[in-house]
Amino acid sequence: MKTLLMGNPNVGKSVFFNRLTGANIIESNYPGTTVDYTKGYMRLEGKDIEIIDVPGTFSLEPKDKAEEVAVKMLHESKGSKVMCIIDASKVERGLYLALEIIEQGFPVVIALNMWDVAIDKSIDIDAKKLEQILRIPVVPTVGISGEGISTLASRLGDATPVKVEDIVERTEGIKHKVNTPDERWTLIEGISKEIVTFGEYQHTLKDAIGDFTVKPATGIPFAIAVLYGFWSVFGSFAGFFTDGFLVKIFDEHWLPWLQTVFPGGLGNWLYALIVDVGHLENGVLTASDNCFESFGALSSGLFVPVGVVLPAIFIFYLMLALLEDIGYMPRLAVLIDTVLHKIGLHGYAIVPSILALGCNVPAVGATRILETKKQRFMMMTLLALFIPCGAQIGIMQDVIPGSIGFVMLYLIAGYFIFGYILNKIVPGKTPEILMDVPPYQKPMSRNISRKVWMRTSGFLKVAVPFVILGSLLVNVLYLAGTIDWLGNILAPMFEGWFGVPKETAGPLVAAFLRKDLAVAQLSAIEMTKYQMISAVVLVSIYFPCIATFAMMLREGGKAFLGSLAVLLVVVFTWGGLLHLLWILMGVV
Amino acid sequence: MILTALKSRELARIVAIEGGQGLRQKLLLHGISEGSTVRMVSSNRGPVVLEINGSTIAIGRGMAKKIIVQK
Ligand SMILES: Nc1nc2c(ncn2[C@@H]2O[C@H](COP(=O)(O)OP(=O)(O)OP(=O)(O)O)[C@@H](O)[C@H]2O)c(=O)[nH]1
Ligand SMILES: [Mg+2]
Repeated sequence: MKTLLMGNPNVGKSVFFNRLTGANIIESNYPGTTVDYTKGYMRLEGKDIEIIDVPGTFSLEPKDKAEEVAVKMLHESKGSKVMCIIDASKVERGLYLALEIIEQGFPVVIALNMWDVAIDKSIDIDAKKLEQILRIPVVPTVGISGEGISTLASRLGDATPVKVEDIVERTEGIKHKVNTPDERWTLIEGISKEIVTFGEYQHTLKDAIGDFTVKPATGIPFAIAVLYGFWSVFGSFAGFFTDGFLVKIFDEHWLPWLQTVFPGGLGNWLYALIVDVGHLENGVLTASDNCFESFGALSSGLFVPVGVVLPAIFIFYLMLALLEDIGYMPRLAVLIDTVLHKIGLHGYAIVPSILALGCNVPAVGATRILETKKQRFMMMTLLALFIPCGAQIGIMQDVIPGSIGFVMLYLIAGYFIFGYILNKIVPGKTPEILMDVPPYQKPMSRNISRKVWMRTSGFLKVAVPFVILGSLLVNVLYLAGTIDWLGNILAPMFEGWFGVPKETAGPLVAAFLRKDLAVAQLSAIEMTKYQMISAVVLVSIYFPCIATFAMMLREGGKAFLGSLAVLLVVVFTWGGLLHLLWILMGVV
Repeated sequence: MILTALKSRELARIVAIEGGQGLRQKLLLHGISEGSTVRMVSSNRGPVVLEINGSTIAIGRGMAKKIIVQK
């Protein structure tokens, strides 16, 4: 027997899922965290029961792609039971979805979750009474402490299909049938009159802070301070570990050790692939003294993901988890809404945009919470082109510390300018924002550490093999002469149009696999500061990495061709424009 | 008066939602219904932010203009 976890967004479904199955799904304090379903198993009375975490939805008439997934899941699960999670501080809308599911004939159990929040807000709910009216197990729960969850699971057996007519009969003052949404709302009003009492709501300091940080006059300066703080901590933490420790370990110990123990030595092709390609000094092949220049799969290939990017990724995900769990993201969404409307998106687009700063892949998935095709297409395209991922930012921090600010600004400018243009030419609508702003919460260290661990280890699992593979591939292509050949053919474009050395061809090939590797390889090429900026910008915008590419293909379908077309235009104009800027400034 | 005319910290009761069934349903699903009392959090610029039954919600100005309230 299958059990679906369903409910409105941000009510705690994923918390339940993790508790019941021991899995590690991302939980965050904003609506729309889960955009795809996940299966797991829980042990109940000696049996393994399949349980599915479903994206949040307000009703069975989907309004976005994530809701479509939820509704489709329900329709494909005839014969399953449903655990319906309701936010006890927002019972009515939770009941709306629950009733819709009940009307479909599913056996349902109801969790009145966020029981603690309801108490905080002096909302009193008579769970017993609700159970009597619905004839469905109803259990008050607190997801974060686990209270009530095992009771809820143990009552799954009591769930049986219920007829709405019978519910109507048991509800005082309601006589009519339930066929339309309005009739359903009337029934819910009737039920809620019997079970909910709103007490005097005492505003607390938390509410005052909530108001302060969401009003533009005070919230915008505060947001700027938060983001600035984010950036400073990010830079200093990553710099401290990379330059302070890891560079020394890799350059002074790891590389020399590899150079002595690995058979072959300079000039040998296998040695070049794995350890050190060396470089010519006065016509003599000389050993490299750092992991940026050695290019070997086990030297650069390990140094880039572990020595440089890992600290950056770690601190980024730590701060992201804090912002997510405290509940700051929806406030940021409100504050930036007006600006994002100018480029055909709305405030909620800040969520995929910020996720993209960690990794573009989950960010492309997160576009599912945007309502229209137009928004999803624009968001996907803009983030893949203009938002550098954490790995790339981490390596830029190390190899172009003086110019990274400019590169980021140039990319953000591109995001807005091309967003503005796309908004004018892409047909379709951008609906207005309508979003719950959840209360601030104290972040729980258990959830924070779990999220950071999951995302960071996820990064290592993908980055290490791909960077090593990328180094090998580029080295082979170098040895085979392919990169030089490519560079020579494309030289007029590289040098004439983009103003970068033709050797950039190599890193651009690497960028297809990993952007961090590409930037690391750029640092070994001799060029001016301005050429370097141009080259790094090119690496960012010229093509999404292969993982993002695959995700865009999966999520975007045909729209992906549109993204590719935009990409071509952007690379040539935005990349070329930078060259023009340098010419005007007289620095080339 | 319309919702957007309400100033920060003012209280009012929602008396009507103008506009089609679609908008009504959308608002109801976010807990905005006739008869509820709202407390305005932010109405000056950007989306309107209000508090209803202890929950906070942000709503675009276009939609907010279709909500009629009484102080
Ligand atoms: N105070 C309190 N917070 C809770 C409770 N249950 C869950 N939360 C918090 O609510 C937030 C949302 O939890 P999730 O499990 O991510 O919610 P979800 O229903 O999966 O949300 P979507 O995936 O966006 O649909 C998290 O920050 C949780 O820590 C509870 O009973 N009380
Ligand atoms: Mg979830």
